[in-house]
Amino acid sequence: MAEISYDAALGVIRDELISRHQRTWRHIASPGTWLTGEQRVAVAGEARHARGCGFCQNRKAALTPYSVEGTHDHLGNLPEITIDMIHRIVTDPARLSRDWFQSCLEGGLSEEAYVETLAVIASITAIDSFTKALGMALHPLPGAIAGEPSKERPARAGQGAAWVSWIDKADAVDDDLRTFGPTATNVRRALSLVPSDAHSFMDLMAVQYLPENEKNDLDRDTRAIDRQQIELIAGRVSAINQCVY
Amino acid sequence: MLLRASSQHRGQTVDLQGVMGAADGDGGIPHGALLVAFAEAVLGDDPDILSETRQAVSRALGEAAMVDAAAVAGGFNAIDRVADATGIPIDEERVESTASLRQDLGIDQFPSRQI
Repeated sequence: MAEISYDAALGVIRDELISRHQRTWRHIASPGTWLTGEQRVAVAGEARHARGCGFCQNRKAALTPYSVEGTHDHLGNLPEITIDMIHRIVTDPARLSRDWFQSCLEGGLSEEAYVETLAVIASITAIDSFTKALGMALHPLPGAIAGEPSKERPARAGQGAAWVSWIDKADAVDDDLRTFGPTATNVRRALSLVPSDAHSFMDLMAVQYLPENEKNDLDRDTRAIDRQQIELIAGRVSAINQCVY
Repeated sequence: MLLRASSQHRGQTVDLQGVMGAADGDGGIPHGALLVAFAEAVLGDDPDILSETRQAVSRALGEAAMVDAAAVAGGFNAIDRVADATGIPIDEERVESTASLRQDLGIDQFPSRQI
């Protein structure tokens, strides 16, 4: 599988960013917990394609997404319910609701596949947004790695305060402690129903934003922009996305 | 959002309206207006504006800063989707401490708070 490269970037990219992006790319291509590598790469491709979907643009412009009828412009590699899930999360995330989430499950998506699909969407969104910001072409999608998903649901996962089941802070043990343990915020355990993807995504965030052990150390500046500048960008992006969290 | 916490910790006064794109000038943060413009351009659809703001950030703060700003913008564009699509609540310990901030900035009016 070809490695992604930042050789064409205008600025010098931190080594940890390059290596983490390469690891994330391999992770997307590999058999997951509930999806095959082929399905995961298809999710990544559909997430990219959704950004140009005319139906989604009409929905986004409408007072309510349910007032617009039409069909998605899609690549045809995934079930209809998965395509709609991907398009809604990519193009109109602020108007997702618990009822909509339930409709995904009633439409045939398992809760575990929903979380894993979301993790792939989030990972490719982070990397594609970064390359776009740098003015680079998007990296070619990875070739899928053959193999079967493990289909292991963590025994400690259960319904908590989120729509999706998760591993509660009190139930995190061993490797999961670093990501979902007592000091972790809700967003760190949001994907914990599929631990390998949760760890991978938070490791990606550690290099794009800050490592967890630095996040609450407000005296420390380890990036080329200072802490207020980092938080201003983070806050502005979340406000544009109308994300309350 | 840790902008208020980090600013208070360092004894600095910043205009939190910068998050809403409505600060006066830089809002007390070095090159704040430029970084806000860059974040908006990364999420926007105009490649010319993105190119101009990218170059402006590199000129003003250096290439490494531009790369780090791009990384943060990309990361939060993803984190927001994880938060919204999983329906996680605001962390318990932050609900009360951020209530007035969310009210003042209009964050409680976002669609996901109404659904």
